[in-house]
Amino acid sequence: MESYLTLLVFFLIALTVALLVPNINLITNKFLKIDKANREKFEPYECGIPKINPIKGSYFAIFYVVALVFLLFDLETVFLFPWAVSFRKLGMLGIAEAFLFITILLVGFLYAIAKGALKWD
Amino acid sequence: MKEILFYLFGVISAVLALLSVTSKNVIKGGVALLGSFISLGAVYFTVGAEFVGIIQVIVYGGAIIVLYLFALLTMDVKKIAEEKVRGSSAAAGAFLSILLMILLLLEASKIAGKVKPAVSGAKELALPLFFKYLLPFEIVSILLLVATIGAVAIARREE
Repeated sequence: MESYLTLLVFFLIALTVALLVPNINLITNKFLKIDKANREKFEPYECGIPKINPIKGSYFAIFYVVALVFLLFDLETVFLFPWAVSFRKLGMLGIAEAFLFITILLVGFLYAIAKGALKWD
Repeated sequence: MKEILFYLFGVISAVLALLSVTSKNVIKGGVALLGSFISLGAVYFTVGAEFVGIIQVIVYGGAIIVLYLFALLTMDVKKIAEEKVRGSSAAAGAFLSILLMILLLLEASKIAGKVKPAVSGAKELALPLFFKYLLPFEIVSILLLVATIGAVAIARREE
């Protein structure tokens, strides 16, 4: 647990920077009188092409399948985390097991690519 | 030190969770939920459940929030902000929440004081995971493979 305290300090530094930078903008916005109630503020992309409301159909499905595939490979990371932190202790057998694990999951990844699930069209 | 951090992150998590459901702007609510998830991960770290904390941050803070925000991206956020909360759904939600809380408190009171800190660090979990429970570990990869193929197949049905 103690080793994670360093991580917490790093996180707090990152959080401070992340909170400071947009707040500097907010202060300058007060002087520049930027309209916060503007409808554009609620758009996903403020400076993009105006969207045709509401977006539905396959557009949503593409986003959703990308997010789902990401979720599954995120879970793979969870299982590889213990392997990574005790890499030396596990030896050659550990490497072989982890590669078997990744190989099986790679089949799914190749399937997703073959089906064009990660293609933006 | 640990206890201070435990209560600090616990309170942050609860406050952000409250913000996430009361926020008028759904995107702000999503970000508050992200903060709540990460604080909850920190709570797990403070009680020594490192691996659970890591899972909380990676899976909930990473993947689940991405799913939520991708879904929110396609909605008309302004219209949701203007929508009135219906009394019946609020009542149903409150009823379910209170029921869940009572159940959790009942179960927690049964095991209170009996729980001992066990192995929960990622390093300690590696040996049993890769030797004793090797087969379940590899089966998990097949399960994830099935889930990947299922998700892709459903979402990309032949047009």
